[in-house]
Amino acid sequence: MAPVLDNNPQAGAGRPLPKKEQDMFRTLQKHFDTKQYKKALKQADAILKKFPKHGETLAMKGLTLSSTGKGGEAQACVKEGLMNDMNSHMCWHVFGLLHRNERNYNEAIKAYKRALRIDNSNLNILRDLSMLQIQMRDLIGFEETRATILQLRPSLKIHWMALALAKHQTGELTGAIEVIDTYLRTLNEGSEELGRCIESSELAMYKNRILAEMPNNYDEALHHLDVCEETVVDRGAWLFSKAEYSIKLRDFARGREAVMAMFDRGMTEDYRIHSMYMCILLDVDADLCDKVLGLRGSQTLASMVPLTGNQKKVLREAYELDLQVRYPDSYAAKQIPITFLDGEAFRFAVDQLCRKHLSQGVPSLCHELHSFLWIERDDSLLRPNDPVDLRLHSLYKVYTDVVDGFISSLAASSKFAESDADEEPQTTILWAWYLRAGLHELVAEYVDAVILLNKCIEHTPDAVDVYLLKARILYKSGDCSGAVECIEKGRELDKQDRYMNNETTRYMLLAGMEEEAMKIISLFAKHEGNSEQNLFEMQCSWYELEMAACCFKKQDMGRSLKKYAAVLKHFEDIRDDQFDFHGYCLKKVTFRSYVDMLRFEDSLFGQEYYVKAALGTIHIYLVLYDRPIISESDEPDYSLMTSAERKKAKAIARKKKKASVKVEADVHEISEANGNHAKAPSAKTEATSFIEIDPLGKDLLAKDPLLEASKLSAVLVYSAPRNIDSWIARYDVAIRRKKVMMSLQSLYKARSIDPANAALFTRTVDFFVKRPFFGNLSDQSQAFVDEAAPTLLNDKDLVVFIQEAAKAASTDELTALPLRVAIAKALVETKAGSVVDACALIVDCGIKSRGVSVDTCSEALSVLKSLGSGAEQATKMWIAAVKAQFPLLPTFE
Amino acid sequence: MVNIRQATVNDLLEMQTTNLLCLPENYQMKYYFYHILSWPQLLWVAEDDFGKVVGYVLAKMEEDESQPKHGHITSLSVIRTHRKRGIATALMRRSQREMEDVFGAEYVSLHVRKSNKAAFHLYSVTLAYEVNDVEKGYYADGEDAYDMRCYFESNAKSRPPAKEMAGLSIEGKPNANKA
Repeated sequence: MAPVLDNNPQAGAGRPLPKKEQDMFRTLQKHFDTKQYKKALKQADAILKKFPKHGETLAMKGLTLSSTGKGGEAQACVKEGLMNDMNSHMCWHVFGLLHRNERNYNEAIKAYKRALRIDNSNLNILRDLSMLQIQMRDLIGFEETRATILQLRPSLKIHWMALALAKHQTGELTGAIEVIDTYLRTLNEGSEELGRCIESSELAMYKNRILAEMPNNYDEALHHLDVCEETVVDRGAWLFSKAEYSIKLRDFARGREAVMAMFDRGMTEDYRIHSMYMCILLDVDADLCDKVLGLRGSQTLASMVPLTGNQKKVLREAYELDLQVRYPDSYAAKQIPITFLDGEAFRFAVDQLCRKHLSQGVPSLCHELHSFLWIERDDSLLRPNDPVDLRLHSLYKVYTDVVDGFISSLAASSKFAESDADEEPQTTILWAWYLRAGLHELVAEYVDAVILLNKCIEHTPDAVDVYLLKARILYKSGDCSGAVECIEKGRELDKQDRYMNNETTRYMLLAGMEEEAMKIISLFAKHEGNSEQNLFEMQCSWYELEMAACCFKKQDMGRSLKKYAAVLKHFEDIRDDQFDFHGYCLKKVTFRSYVDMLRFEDSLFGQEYYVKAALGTIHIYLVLYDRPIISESDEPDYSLMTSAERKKAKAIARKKKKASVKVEADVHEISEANGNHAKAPSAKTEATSFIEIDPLGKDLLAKDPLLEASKLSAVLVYSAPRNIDSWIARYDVAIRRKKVMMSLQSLYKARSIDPANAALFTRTVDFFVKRPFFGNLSDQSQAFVDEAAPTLLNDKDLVVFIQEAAKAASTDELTALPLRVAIAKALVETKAGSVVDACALIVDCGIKSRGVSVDTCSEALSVLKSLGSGAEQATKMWIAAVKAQFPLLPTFE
Repeated sequence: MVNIRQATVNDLLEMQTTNLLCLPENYQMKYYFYHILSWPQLLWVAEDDFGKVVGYVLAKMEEDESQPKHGHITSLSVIRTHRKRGIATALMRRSQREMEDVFGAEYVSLHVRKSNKAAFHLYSVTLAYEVNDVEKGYYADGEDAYDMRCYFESNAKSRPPAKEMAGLSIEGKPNANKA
């Protein structure tokens, strides 16, 4: 007897549905594709009524459910479908799609590959797979898949573009060019795509970029620019590349032509183009050209490397006799030459510049003057930022002389100089005081600055910018509440200005007034419901970071962790967001931006905000690890225990905590569920849930602190390897995990970035103090540590290393305060020196050294206090010195 | 000094920060990506001397085929500490030039709050925009917006004959201090 089940679609494995249901299934698909989910569900249910186990229908129903936000139900449905029909490529495809929607990209890739095993030429699945492969940066896989797709459908442009892109990404530059050229040859002459339009232009410029990326291929890239000139509508980019290649090939005449054409197009305020102009005039090497193109702000070739007198003369003539005449409206052409002036000419230029901007009341004038100051160090130029270095700069005096002259003359006669014909408007003296206050700020003369700003306020009480500057200076002087009071007055004067609102919020957070801060920022952020949620949705990282720091200072570790977690989440979202753009850009052919995006995303977790949030999180977890504070009352004091006891006690505490958290979480879940039923049935957004779930960060506190810190520090050293703090954090985690080799490596990396870093000094000493207690290392590791470690101490004994550092620090009176403090601490802790030596290191020159701020001075104070008997006198002296330096500091003791 | 250059993907986070600092209308990063991956030539930034972004213009091409080709300024802002330097004007001119050259736009449109006199002055006087319409309650807080347009000489085929400014009177003198 033949088995009856064979023809039953419920038996799975490819048995077809009867004709009627097949049609219904097709309708179901159509409804789904056109996003008519309700109708699609209706069809699915109708089929399932007759064939409740039909795999593909179950899969489609699941997919539809998932599109309507019913994730849980969808999962179950799709899984059931798959179990019923493991040989259906559609079931696997849908299973993959569901994983993709949940952002489980690796699982999705696996599912797609299973689907392709069943149907290896299914275009939809191949396309979806390729999108996931590029998302996960499986570049080789992406190229393979795109090659398969192109083979199956060579008639579509998008498939050619995708393969070219794939080859470019795997580094097959020649292959990428070949694909593009082959595609272009398939076009008929006169085809629109060969003509002048945005798509052909983007493709030509993309091809050109690949050509230029090939080693020593600027010749060909330059030639190609000529070939595609008529096609390219992006003239700006075309000229930029032409100038760049020409300079690198030392074809300066051609380079000059392109540079001037860019200026003619109105791009006179792009400083990189000015740098190219200078490269041409000064006939510099190609590698220098590469460097100047990476400069930011107003830095140019002229402020990157020290120039000879003759070179300065060449540039000066070119600017004064040529560029300034041709482009009289260009600000850059006027200001850049100031960089290569000196002596009386510099003074005159500054005088003229200040007159103009003071009359106009330009608030950023001081900023601009600061930017003209450079210090030569090791054949390159650096901008001084520390007050100590600025005070010593020879040109700083020029500024104060000029501005002081203006102020006395303006006060006497309302003119910049007695001999002037015209009187200045009333506001000019206000801006002169404002500028002078800014100059005081640069060299940390905060009291003088505040006196002048008070004069400004008396003169014009509604000059909002004055309050901004004054608040900043009060904050730097250590008067946090004064800063808040001041900025609040400024904000009241212009309540429509969100910048003032934000600055008020920021100073409030710095002053520990988080409740007030939230109220203020809500004035602009509340209009879409809960302001915290609105700020989270808008990815307002700066606020969340400040709030996290504020909570940390108040020992509210949970809320602090929660705010840092919000920032980390933004970056995960940004990473996931790119997914939709893979397909989008293939259609748009905006490949230059797209490739930039891929690179940007690759180093996304090295971005400043992410790094700050990660460092903040690691710091909190390490504090928690060192002294858990979870349940205030019944937590034992670990510091009195041996390490074995401590371990046991911690384990118990952790269990307790987990239990209590679980209860809370359960309660929370129930109330959430209730809330949902009570309210409208609309699906909650991710942002709502992030803000609402665990607002106090209790779940985060319950995590294994060392494990969490370890995970994040691994991300940091990978994504921000040039940031010394990444390696310091890595060390702090590794040494607690007793990972000797990893600790050592971290110190090495940190040393290669900045050997004079105070945090590094402290960690280096820490490593050698702990070294005798490392316990059993493998022979190989032991040998490595024995060989590698001593170089960290310059092959000295630890004691000698510290003593030499102390000697060097006391010889150079500008040695930064944080380093002095680190050395002083080490001297006493390792008994390498006396308490007196340590105190002298801080007190003798400390206040006149680099790196002096209210925070670093406070740190120094707490170290002095920790040194115990013998340091009392020095502590008093230090307090007096700090009070003299920061007279506005309300308390310091 | 301020460096005015075309934005790259690497500038987007700083552009978003600047936007959040200065304006009440904010966007997620994805929206910035959408702009730069569609019309990279229309996004420009201003960097201060030290390389920090202090201003930006975020612009796009409208893709409504029923209307003549035109660009739209999505967002423009300059941090308060860097005002009075013509940064906004410079950014706008750069973006408008690329709209005209690269995308063949006939005109550019934008929305501005009725109460924002400084911005209105910039658009109407410095950049020669004209009021095309008023959109009631355009902003989330209920404020009306002026829908403004600036026609490009070289491409303006569809420019309507000079018309009355829809019966609008512009009250008050623009506050130059805030420009």
